[in-house]
Amino acid sequence: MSLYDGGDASNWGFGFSVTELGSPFSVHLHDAVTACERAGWIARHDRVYRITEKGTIECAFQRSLAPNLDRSRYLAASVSASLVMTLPSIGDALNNEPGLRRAMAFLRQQQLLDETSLGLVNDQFEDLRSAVGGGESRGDLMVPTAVWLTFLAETADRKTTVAS
Amino acid sequence: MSYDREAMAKIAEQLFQVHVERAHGEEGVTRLRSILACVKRVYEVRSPLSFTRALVVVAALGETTPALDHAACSAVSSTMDFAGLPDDAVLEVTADGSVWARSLDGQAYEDFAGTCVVYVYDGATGSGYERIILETGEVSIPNPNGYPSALAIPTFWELEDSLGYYSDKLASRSTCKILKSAWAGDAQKRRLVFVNSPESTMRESLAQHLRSSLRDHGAIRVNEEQNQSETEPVDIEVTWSLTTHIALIEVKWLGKCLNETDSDLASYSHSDARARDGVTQLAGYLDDAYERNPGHEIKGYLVVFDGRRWGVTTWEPGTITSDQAWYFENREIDYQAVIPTRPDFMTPIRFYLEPRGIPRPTSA
Repeated sequence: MSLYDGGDASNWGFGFSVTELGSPFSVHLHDAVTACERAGWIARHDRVYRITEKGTIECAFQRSLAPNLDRSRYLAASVSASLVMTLPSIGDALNNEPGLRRAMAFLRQQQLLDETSLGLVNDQFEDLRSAVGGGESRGDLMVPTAVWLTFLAETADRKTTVAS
Repeated sequence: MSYDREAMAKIAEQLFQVHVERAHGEEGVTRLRSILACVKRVYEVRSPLSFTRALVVVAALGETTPALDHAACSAVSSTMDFAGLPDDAVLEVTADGSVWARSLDGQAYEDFAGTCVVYVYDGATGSGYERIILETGEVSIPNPNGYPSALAIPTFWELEDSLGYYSDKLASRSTCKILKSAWAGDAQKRRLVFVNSPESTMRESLAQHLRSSLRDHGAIRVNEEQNQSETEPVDIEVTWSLTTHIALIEVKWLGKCLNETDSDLASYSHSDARARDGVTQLAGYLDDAYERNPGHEIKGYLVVFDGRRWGVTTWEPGTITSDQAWYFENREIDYQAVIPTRPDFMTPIRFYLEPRGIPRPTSA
């Protein structure tokens, strides 16, 4: 959603690749989860992680740091999706993200968010801006997030043409 | 990669989030977010179906007076407080995140629409229609899975779907490899008689299916032989993380099995009376479970593996006709009105296990 806002994906400081099974995967995020667990900020309960009291305090601190101030809006928008969609549904929808689909269609491009993929996403975001309105002044990104994920979820049911 | 460029606009026209933003601006979206989060918390401890009349959640816009008279409301201080809501509850989520609740008492939902964002779950219609009420009308909340609420973790509903799938796809023809081993292999492998004490195999088969099929909503434990009382265990207990929902599953089987030495039929067989025993047992397990887990929503499921055959009197039986082998396919279990009329006791489920290699009677 930071791309939707005109941001640069590389500013996040980590990349994603696609696994052979078609899932986006970030080594950096994977390592970060392990580090958070070791620090006692999150704790595993069966198949989910829950933030601990210590983690809540740390999160409030991290949120106040300058590099993270801008990120909160985008993270809040992403998390808002889980209010109306189940986590598996969100995962299914994101499988139709153009860069991921392209990677899976050609099985030759393992790194996601490259220039071509970002171009495809930006094309969709141009239509998204037009559909939801609000222009540059939008503070809350919950609405465009919901529309885009719904669009991606319905993409699977819609006839699409894949071109190189 | 091309796509229907009109699709995005069409979706936007239908989504309730877009309608709320158009009606109330970004403040409306902020209030909507707090409402949805509140509704999800309610459904962690209360099934939507338990609101037999309505659940209404509102959040006031602007610096206006509260939507509800808080003096006439109960303050909700923890998620568990939602367990005590009336079945026609109206809740207000304030800007500071506090939640107030009272009975709707017949008040029209539309009364709130001018000054609030309003969520409604309409339990009185029986369909559980969910919508957002705006001054200009109402917008439905999409519900692609068809369960009563799109916002609740589909705990019991998903379990019931999973049991239905097990019955149709895995149990009926003993497709499940584990369940297959519950049958004694007569010379023609016709699935007429069970091995000795097949219940643990059936329990393992069902538990394995539930473990693999109920995984989408976080941590689910399918524990075999959970101790519900000091003397007897319930067969399978299913719990869902982030909710207070618990399902107890009691497994029974009907038919005949081999004796301990596999040399002949056991001296006993199980028929309808065995299923009736299961009813009594499960009702007791439910009572025990409430004592152990106060404030939880618990439902009991009796599942019966039905492998009854007509005319099987010896091991290995000789010729068995189609009419004999399939005799019980459409004969439901006679519970003789022992099933209690309590909302937590779900309708018993019969898994009819088909014979193998014997054609279904043409006249059936």
